[in-house]
Amino acid sequence: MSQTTPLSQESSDHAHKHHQPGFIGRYIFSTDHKVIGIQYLFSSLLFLLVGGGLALLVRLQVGYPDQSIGILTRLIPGLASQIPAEWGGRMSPEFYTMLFTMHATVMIFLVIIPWLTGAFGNFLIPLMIGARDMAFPLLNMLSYWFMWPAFGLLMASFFVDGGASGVGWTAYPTISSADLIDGSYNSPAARHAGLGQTLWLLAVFFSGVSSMMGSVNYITTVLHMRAPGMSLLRMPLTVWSLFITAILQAVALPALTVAALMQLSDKILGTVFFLPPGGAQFGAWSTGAGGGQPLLWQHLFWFYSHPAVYIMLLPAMGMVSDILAVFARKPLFGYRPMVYSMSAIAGLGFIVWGHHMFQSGMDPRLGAGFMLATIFIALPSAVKTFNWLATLWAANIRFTTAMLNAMAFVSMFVIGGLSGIFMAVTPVDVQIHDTYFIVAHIHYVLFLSTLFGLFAATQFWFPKMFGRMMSEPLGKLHFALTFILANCTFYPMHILGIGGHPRRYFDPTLYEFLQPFQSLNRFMTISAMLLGLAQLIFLANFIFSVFFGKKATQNPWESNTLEWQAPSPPPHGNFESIPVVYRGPYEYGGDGATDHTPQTASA
Amino acid sequence: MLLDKGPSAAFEATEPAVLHFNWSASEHWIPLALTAVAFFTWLLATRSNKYWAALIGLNAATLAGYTAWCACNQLWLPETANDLGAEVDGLFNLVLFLTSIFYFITQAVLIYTMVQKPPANGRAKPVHGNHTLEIAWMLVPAFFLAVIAIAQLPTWAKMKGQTSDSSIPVGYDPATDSSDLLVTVTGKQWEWRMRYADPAKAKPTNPLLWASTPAADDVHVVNELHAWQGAKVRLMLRTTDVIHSFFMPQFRFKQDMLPGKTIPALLRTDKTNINSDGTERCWEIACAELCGGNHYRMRGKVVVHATREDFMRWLSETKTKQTARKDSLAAATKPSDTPAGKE
Repeated sequence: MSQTTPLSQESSDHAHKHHQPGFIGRYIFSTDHKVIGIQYLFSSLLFLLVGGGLALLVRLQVGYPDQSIGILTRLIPGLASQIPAEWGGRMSPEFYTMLFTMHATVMIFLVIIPWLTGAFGNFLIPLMIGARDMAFPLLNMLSYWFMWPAFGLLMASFFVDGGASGVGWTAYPTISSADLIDGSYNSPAARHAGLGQTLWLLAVFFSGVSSMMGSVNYITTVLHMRAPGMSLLRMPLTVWSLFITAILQAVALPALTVAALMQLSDKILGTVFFLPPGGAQFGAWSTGAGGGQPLLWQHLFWFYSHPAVYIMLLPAMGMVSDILAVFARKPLFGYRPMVYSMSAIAGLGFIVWGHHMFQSGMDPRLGAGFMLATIFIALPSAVKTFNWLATLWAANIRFTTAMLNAMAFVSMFVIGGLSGIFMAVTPVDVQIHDTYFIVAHIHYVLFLSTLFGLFAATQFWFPKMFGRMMSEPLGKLHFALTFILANCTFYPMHILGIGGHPRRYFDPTLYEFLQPFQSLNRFMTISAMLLGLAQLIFLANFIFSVFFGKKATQNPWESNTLEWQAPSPPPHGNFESIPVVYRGPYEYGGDGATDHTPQTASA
Repeated sequence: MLLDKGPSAAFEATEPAVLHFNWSASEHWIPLALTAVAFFTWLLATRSNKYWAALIGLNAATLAGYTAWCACNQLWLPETANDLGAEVDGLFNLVLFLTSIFYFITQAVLIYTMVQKPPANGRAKPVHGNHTLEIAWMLVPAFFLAVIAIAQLPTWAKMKGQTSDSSIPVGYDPATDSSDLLVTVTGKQWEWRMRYADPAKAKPTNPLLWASTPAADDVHVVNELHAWQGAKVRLMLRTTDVIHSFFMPQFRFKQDMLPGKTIPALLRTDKTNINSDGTERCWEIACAELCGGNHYRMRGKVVVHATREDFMRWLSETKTKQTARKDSLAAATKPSDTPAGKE
C-alpha cells in the first residue's frame, strides 16, 4: 500500500498493484488495516495477562492481608523496595495502591479500548462496509505504535524512585497533582505520586493521542468509503457501534488529554490549575498559595471517562447484536430502534458525568440534574435488551461458543445495567459510592459484558482473521468456567458494597463492621485465581488455532455481512472487486432457497 | 502544637502469616466445587444444549437466591442510626424491588429462548421488528424510571441540603444555622481531627468563620465524633492536604472533603449507640476516597450519647484533660531563656 492517502477506491487499487512491501513493511510497520487490527489483538491479549496478573495480586492482598508475596521479588528483583524483606515479604500499602491503579489503567487504556476499537474496529470496519482499507492507512499505523510508549511508561514506572502511580486511575488532585519538590522527583503528597504519576500522565497522553488518531480515521472511513449501495441504514450494527464510539472518542478524549497535560504542568512547571487558593499542607511542607480548583479535574476527567464507559461497551453491544442475529438465524429485531438507542446512549452519555461526583462537594442541586439524565440513560439500554430478547424469540438457535458468550453477555449486561440504577438514586449512592458496589458494577459491565462480547467476537471473526477456526470444545469449556467463576468473583462485591465496604482498602480487617465480610473476600480471591487460570484455556485455544486450527471456509457461519464475501483471510485490498450492496445485513430465516441472503445478493 | 503528631505510624513489622488454606472453610471449597459444576455442565452439554440453558438459568437464580440469603443474614445494609437512614433503605428496597422484576422477566425470557422448540423446517419467521412493541417497552420502563427519579428527590434534599425540612436542596446560610452542635472535622493524612467550641461559651455566631479560624479554647479530639441522641449536628468538613471522604455507614453519610473548601453538612443523630448496660455498639468512621498508602487506616468512631448531659460531661472532661495536658506540656518545654514577659 502506498503511503499516500487513497483519494478514491481506484487510486487505491492502482497503488496496491504496484507496491510489494517486505516482511517489516507487511507485518511490523504495516499500513494494512487487517494487519494493524491483528497487531492490536495480540497486544491486547498480552496486556490482558499483565492487567489480570495485577488484579490477582490486588485480590490476594484483600483476601489475605497478612500474606507474604516475597517470592515476587525473586522473579522481579526491582520490586524489592515495594515488598520489603523486613516486612517478611508483605507488600507495602503503597505497592497495593500501585497495583490497583495500574490494573485499571492497563485494562481500560491498553486492553478493552484497543481490543474493541483497535483490533475489531480496524479489522472489521473496511471489510464490513466494503472498502479496501482505512481512509488514512499511515495514520492508522501511527495510532497503533503510539500505544507502545504508553505501555512502556506504565511498566517502567514500577521501577522508578517511589514506584508507579498509586493515586487511582482517577488521579484526583491534590494527591496526584501536588508539584514535585525542587530538584527531586518526589511528591510531598504521597511517596508514590512523584515520578510514577508523571509517567502515568504521559502514558495517558500517549494512549489518548493514539485513540484520537484511530477515531478520526474510523469516522472518515465510515462516512466516505462505503461500498455502492451500503447506505448508513444498511450498515451492520457492529459498524454503527464503532462509528458512534469513534465520535464519542473524538469529542470526549481531548478533555482528558488536555487535563492530563494540565496536571503534568501542575506537577513539573508549578502551575496551579488544580491547587486551591489556600494551597495544601503536607506535614511540614506547604505547597504555597494556589488559585485553582481540585474539582475542575474531576469535571474534566469524568467528562471523558463517563463516555469512555460507553466507548468500552457500545462496540461490544454492536458485535453481540450481529452474532445473536447470525446464530439465531433470524433478523435482528428492531434494527432502527437499536441504532437510535445507541445514539441516545452516546448523546445522553455526555451529560451524565456528574453522577460520579454526587459526594464530591459539587452543589447537590446540580447533582439532582445529573441524576435525572442518569436515570434516563437506562432507557435506551433497556430497549436494547428487549430487542435482543425479541431477536432470540422463536429463533432457530445454533449454540456455538460465540453464541453462548453473546447470550451470557445479555444475561450479565442486565445485572450491570440494573446495578447502575442503584447508584443513580442519589440517596442510595451516598451509601454505596466508593464501595465495592461500584467495583461490582464496573466489572459486570466491563468484564461480564464487554469481555464476554470480546470472547464472542474473537471466536466469531477468528476464521476471517487467520483463515482457521478456533476450537469449539475448548471455547465452550472456557466459556463455562469463565461464566461461573466470573460471577463468583464479582457478584459478592455487590453484597460487600451494600454493607459499606470501601474500595481500595489495603487491609479491611481493621474495621469491625467489615469483619463479617472477610470470608467473602477470601471466596472472591479464590474464585479470581481460578478465573485467571481459566483464561489460559482461551489463550491456549487462540495460539493453537492460529497454527493448527481447522481450515476455515469463506463463510463458515453462513453470515450475510460483507466481510464473509471476502476470502478467509482476505488478501491485501480485501475484495477482488468492490462489492455492491442490495439489502440490509440481517436477512435470515424465511422460506427462500437458503436461510440467509447476503447483502450482495441482488433482488 | 499539641495535636501535630504527624501521620500515623506506617506499618508494624510483625511476622507475616504463611498462606495456609483451610480447605474445610466454605469460602475455599465452594469455588472449587463450582468449577467442577461448570466442568460437568460442559461435558453434559455435548449431549444437549439444554444444559447451557441450565447453566445460565441456575446462575441467574442462584444470584437472586444468594442476595436474598444475604439480606436475611445481616450481610446487608448496616444498622441505621437515624430516620434519614431508614428513608434511604426504603429507597434502596424500592429500587431492588423494581429492578428484580426486570431481572426475573429478562432472565426468564432468555432461558426460555434457549430451551424453546426450533421453528418447523428449521426456518425462523423473518420478523424485523414491531413498532407497537417498541413503543410499549420504552414507555413502561420510562414510567418506572420516572417513579424512581421523583421518589428520591426529597430524601436527597434532606441529606445534602442544609435544612432538614425542605424538599429541594438548600444552600448553607450561617446566619440561619439552627443546629444544636457544631463540629469542625478536618481530614489529614491519615486521621480525622474533630474540633468543638468551648462548652462554657455560646455557639459561635458565624460557623463558617469559626470552621476556618480555630479559637484558642476549642476542644480538640482525634478520630472520635461525639454527639447526643436527637441532636442536629452541623459538621464543617475540611481537609488540609488531599481529598478525603467522611463516611459513616450507620448514618448513610458520606461526603468528600475538598482542599480549599469548607463543606457544611447536617447530621441527625436519632439513635444512641450506648446500650442500656453502658456498653457501646461500634459505629465506625471510614475514609472513602483514596488519600495515600494509609488510606485504609483512617478509622474513627462515632459515639452518640444517650442524653445531652452525658455529652456535655464528656466534652467538659475532655476539655479539662486537654487544658491539663497543655499546661504540663508548656511547663515541660518552657526553656529557661524564654523571657517571662512573652508568655
